[in-house]
Amino acid sequence: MKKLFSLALVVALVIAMAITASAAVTTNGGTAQGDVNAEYVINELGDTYAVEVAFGSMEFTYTVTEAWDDVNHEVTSTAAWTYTAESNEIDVANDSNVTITATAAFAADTGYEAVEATFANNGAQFATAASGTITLTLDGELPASTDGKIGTITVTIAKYVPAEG
Amino acid sequence: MKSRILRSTLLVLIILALVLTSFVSCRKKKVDDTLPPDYAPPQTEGNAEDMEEGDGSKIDTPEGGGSVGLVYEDKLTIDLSDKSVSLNFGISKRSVSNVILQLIVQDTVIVQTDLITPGQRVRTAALKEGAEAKLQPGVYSSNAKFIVNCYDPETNEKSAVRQEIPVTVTVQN
Repeated sequence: MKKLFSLALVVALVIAMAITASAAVTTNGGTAQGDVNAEYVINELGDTYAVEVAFGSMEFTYTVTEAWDDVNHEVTSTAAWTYTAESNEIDVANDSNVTITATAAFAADTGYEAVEATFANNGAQFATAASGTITLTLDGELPASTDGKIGTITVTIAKYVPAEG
Repeated sequence: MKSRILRSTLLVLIILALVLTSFVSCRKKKVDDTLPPDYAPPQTEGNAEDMEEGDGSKIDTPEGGGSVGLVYEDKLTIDLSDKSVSLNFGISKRSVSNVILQLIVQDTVIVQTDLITPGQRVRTAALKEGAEAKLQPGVYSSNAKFIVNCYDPETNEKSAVRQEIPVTVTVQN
């Protein structure tokens, strides 16, 4: 009976030791030991835009100058569009993490459809940290006695997507 | 026989009238509700929050003109049940102009903010009344855009130059 009891005690002792040895964290003289696990996670940055657009007053003057034609005996006239320095400029600076394009368009208000807009450097690409200027010049005839808004300029800022092939 | 002819003629006339009425209604000029005000509203956008401080400098702006430092992502989500849009749009403290932002999907104004001032960002905005009924769950990737309307901070007058930004809108229930 005693032998049987001793055997059971030994078996219990062996099982207990096995359980202790298989634990991930052990205590040795009061110091806790264990595995340190880590996982590398990256929150990928999508397209992030930071674009500065500065624009002039977009105020233009249409001046008609009359002259006397003494050969044909009639009044002739010439017209010209003028503007002050920088007033016709749209400056674009790209601080985004993608290349962008900037494209300006002029939409004439009703009654001013004869006015034509031309943009220099229009549709230009701006890589990160690049900047540039789109300039507007007007042409065509302005109705007499006009003094005010004749249209709106829209600058479309889009991500540059290279053409395939 | 006569009455049958009369009835048929009447029927044809009614159908013609109906066709003409629907044609005229279709041709009727659609009310353009995409126009922001000519002068900025006095109230500023309630959902706007302050962005981080800049170095105090301003964008070099031609006299009489304006400027904006646009900080944004071009992907946004609309929650139909919440009648709101989650976005990331701000104008840097370096800006001179104030802004009213519009989100337009297929020529319909879905969102129009109140005035956003330099150094403010908007992360959520309410849909315009009834806009949720015009949208369906899915992705609107073409003909969806931000329109950035600039306003002079002193006169509150709308500037002649505005910005347009193509965006992708995901709509969910």
